[in-house]
Amino acid sequence: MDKEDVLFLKSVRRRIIEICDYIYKQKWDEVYKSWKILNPKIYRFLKERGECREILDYSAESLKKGNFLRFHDLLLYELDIRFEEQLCKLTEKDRKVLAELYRQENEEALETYHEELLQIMHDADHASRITCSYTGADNVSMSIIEGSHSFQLFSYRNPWRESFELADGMKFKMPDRIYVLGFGGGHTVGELQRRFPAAAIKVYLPNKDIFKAVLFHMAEKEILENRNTEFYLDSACIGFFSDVNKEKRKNNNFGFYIDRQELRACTGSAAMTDKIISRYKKEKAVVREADSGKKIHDYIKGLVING
Amino acid sequence: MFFAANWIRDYSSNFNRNYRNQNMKLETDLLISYMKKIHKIGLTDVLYWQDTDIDFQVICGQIDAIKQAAEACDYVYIYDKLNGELRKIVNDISETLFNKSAEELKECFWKINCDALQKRYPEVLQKLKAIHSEENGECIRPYGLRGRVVYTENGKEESDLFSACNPNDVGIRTAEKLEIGRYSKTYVWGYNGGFEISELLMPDRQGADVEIYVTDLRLFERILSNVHRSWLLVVENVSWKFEVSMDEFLNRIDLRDSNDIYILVGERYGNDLGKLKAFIDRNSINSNIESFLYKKEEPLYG
Repeated sequence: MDKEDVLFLKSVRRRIIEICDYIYKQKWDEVYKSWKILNPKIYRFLKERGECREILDYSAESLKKGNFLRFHDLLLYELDIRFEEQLCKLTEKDRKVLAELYRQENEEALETYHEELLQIMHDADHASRITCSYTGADNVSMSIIEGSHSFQLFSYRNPWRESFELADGMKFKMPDRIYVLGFGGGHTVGELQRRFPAAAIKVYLPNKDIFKAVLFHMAEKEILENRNTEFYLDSACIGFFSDVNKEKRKNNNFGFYIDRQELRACTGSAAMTDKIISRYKKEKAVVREADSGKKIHDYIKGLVING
Repeated sequence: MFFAANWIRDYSSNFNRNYRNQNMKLETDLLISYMKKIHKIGLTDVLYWQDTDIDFQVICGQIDAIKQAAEACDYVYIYDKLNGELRKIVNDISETLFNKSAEELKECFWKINCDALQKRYPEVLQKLKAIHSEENGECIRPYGLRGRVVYTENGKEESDLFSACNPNDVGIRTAEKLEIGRYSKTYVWGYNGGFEISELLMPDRQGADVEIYVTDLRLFERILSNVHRSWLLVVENVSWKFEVSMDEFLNRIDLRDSNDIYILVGERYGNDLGKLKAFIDRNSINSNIESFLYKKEEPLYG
C-alpha cells in the first residue's frame, strides 16, 4: 500500500464511525447520504485490488431494506475490522518510508503556519521515555515509560474511534474557543477541528518530546494547517489552567479538554492525573504536583472535565 | 460459558461508556475472574471446543496483559484489548455456542426469562406460554451473538430489533445520543429488547423511571425465546404494561411536566404511530418518533 491507500483507509474508517454515529442518533437520511458517497469509493478500492466485495453487497442489501442495525454490524464488525487488519499489516519498512514523508510534510506545515514551533524539530533528542513502534493501525504506536511501567499515548487499533468517543464525552455544544491540554497523537485535535470548524482551538503542549516524536512519525499536516488552531508550549500547564480560568471567570462560551495521557506524562503519575481530573469533576480547586516535585496550586473553580 | 462471554462483552460496553466520560474505574478483578472461568471451561470441555479455532491458552496471555495494564493504569491499552483481542475471543465463543448448542441456549433463555416473568407478571406468562407452544421460528435470524436476532418486516422492509454483534453497546450509545437520560420519566412504546434502557439503569444514574409498553405479545415471546432478558424483567425501576391500546397509553402519560418525559419508540412498524406523533407534537414531548416515521425519498440502489 502506498501513502494514498493508507490515507484512504484511515479516512474510510473514520467515515464508518461517523455513519455508525448517525445510526445511534437514528438519523437515517444522513446514513443514506454518507453511504452513497462512501460506497462507490470503497467498491473501487477493493475492485482495484481484486478483493472480495461481498460484504459491500450485504451492506447495500441491508440498507435497501432499511435494516440499519444489520448495516451497522456489517460496517463495524466486518468491514472496519478488515480495513484495520490491512493497516496493521503494513510493514515496518513501508511505515518508515511514510514516517519520513510525514516528517517532511509536518515540518513544512510548521514552517508556514507555526514557525515559532519549528525549533522543536531540530532540538536535541531527549525522548528516552518514549517508545515508538512501527505497529498498529496508525503509522506508529507510542508508549510513555513511567518508572517500571509504561502507558500508551493513544489507541493502536482505532485511534479515530477513540478520539470520536472522547469528543462525544465533551459537554460543550458550539463553543467559540476550545482549550486543549496535550496534542497526543493529534487524533482528538483533528476530531475537534472537524466537529467545530468555526471554533478557535488552542492547543497547549506540556511535553515537547512527545510532540516532536509525533511530528516525526505521523501524518499531522492537515491539523497543523488548520488556520483556526494555535499551539503553545506550556511545560508546566500553567498557561492552560490560567487561560481556562480567565474564560471561566468571564463566563465565556468556551470548552476545554485535557488529554489524560499527556497530563500523566507531565505530572509523572497516573494517580496524580486521576486526582486532578476527579477534582475537576468535583469543581474544586486543583492542586497539581509536577514531576519536579514542586507543588503548583491552580485554583480553578467551577470547572468540569471536558468543559 | 455463554454467560461469562456475555459478561465480558457487557463489561466492555460499560468500560467504553466510562472511557467516553473519562470516568476511569478499573475494576479488573471481576473481569479477570470471568476470563479465568472461560479459560477453565475451555480446557475442561476439550471435546466441545476441539474443532474450533479458539485457542484458550491465548486467554492466559490476555489475563497477564490485563493485570499488568491495570497495575500501570494503562486505560488506553485496556480499551484496545477489550475492543480488540478480547472481543474477538468472546465473539468466537458465542458463535460456536450458537452453532453447536442453539436449541439448549434457547431453552435456557426461555426458562430464565419465564422464571423472571413469573415473579411479577404471572398472568402474562400464561398467555406467552400458549404463544410459545405454537412458535415456528418465524422472523428469527440465523445470526446473533447474544441470542438469535428477532426482526420485524413491513412490505419490502425488514428491521432487526437489536444488534447481532453487540446489542448492549449499541443500546447504550443510542440512549446517549438520544439523550434519554436527561428526562426523569421514560415511556417505551413497543419492545425491541430494551437494550437502550441499560443506559438509564447504570449505577451513576439514580432514580430512573421507565414504563415499557409491550404492544405485540407474539413479538415479546419471540424475544424472550431467543435472548436472555431476565434482568430487565425484574428490575424495580422498570414497570411493564401489556396489551395496552394506543388511546389507553396516551391517557396514561403524565403530562404535568411534559418537558421532563421522553417517549422512546421501540418498534419500527407499529400501528397508530401517526396518532402518537400528533400527541407528541401537541404536547411538545421529547421523542425519537420522527426516525420511525421516516420514509426515504428515493431508493438508493436498484
